[in-house]
Amino acid sequence: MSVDGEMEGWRRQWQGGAKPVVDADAIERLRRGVVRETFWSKWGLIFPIFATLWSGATIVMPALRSGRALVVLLGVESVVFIVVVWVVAFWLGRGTWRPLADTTAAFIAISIRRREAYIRGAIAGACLYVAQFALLVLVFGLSPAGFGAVLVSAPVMGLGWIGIPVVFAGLYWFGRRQWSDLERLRELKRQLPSD
Amino acid sequence: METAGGKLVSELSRETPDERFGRLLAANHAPLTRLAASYAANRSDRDDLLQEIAIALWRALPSFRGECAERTFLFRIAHNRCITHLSKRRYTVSLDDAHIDAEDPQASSEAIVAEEQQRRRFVAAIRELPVIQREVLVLFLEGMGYGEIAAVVGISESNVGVRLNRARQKLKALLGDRS
Repeated sequence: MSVDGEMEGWRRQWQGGAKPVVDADAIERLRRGVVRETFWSKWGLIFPIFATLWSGATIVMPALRSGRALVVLLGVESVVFIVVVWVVAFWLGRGTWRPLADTTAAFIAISIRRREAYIRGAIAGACLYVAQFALLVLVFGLSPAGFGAVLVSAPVMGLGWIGIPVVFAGLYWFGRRQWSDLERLRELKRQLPSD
Repeated sequence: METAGGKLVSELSRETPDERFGRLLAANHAPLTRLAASYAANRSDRDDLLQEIAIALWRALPSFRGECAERTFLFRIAHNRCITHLSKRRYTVSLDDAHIDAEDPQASSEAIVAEEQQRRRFVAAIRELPVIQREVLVLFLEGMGYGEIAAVVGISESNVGVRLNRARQKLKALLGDRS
């Protein structure tokens, strides 16, 4: 069989696989899915901003009104911590917004950069969580109540002795998934220069 | 200027994004389904990918100014989503999963059943091709020329020819092994 004849046969076989009729239900499902996804993705962008502003305001305003130096200091520190989280998130996300070109290689490259950023983000998140927790324990531990009382207090039990293992387990699971994707993408990238 | 869909750019500008989105999906649902099937591990995965393509199209449509044919634009988006989707694949492909679209399970004719099995083998073989060969072959099988494939994938026309030739040889070998 000639090359053209062979290709033409394959093309017929390929195009015979999906019925050429318009599947109105499937298209409507897709359209509904797009509307739903767009709604949630907008909230995904807006929510962290509102959460930051809300938490900043609810921490700082009462702290400033209290007039107590330690509380004001903790309020300021919390705002600084929030700013640090945003700066780290943006810094890790640099170069991952859009591909440099419309090529397969560029898309694989940006997918790799995103996975690497997610993994670094998980590590940074774990470090920031522990740092913030340690700082709070230190500040409250230096108060008249002492470390003994602080270490068994309900907030420290919840955020530390229970919170840290839970957060670490979640980040480990997330990191493993990203690492698995990364391996797959690197394998795809290895295929590219061979052509 | 006329787009591949036969619409003039001036007509397109009068369409709302929602109308354009619906028209493009309706006109290209079958080719997009086949394209998604060639990158998906099973039917559910294919539907997820199709959904991702639709979302990407919805987001990208406002930026379309008619610099290229609508179909080229659409397939470039779809192709890029497919490549991104490959990194999420967490399961392997089985021959049973290698169907492209729903066929009548009650089909009684042996010829139809045999044809369907042959098609599944064909799709399964295409999925085994390296990505760089699969991407050009699938677009070629959709009826695109070298120029359009080059525009979608982002490579030169001569590179399309080289990859297509290698894909043809590899696919032939794979189909030979399976028969």
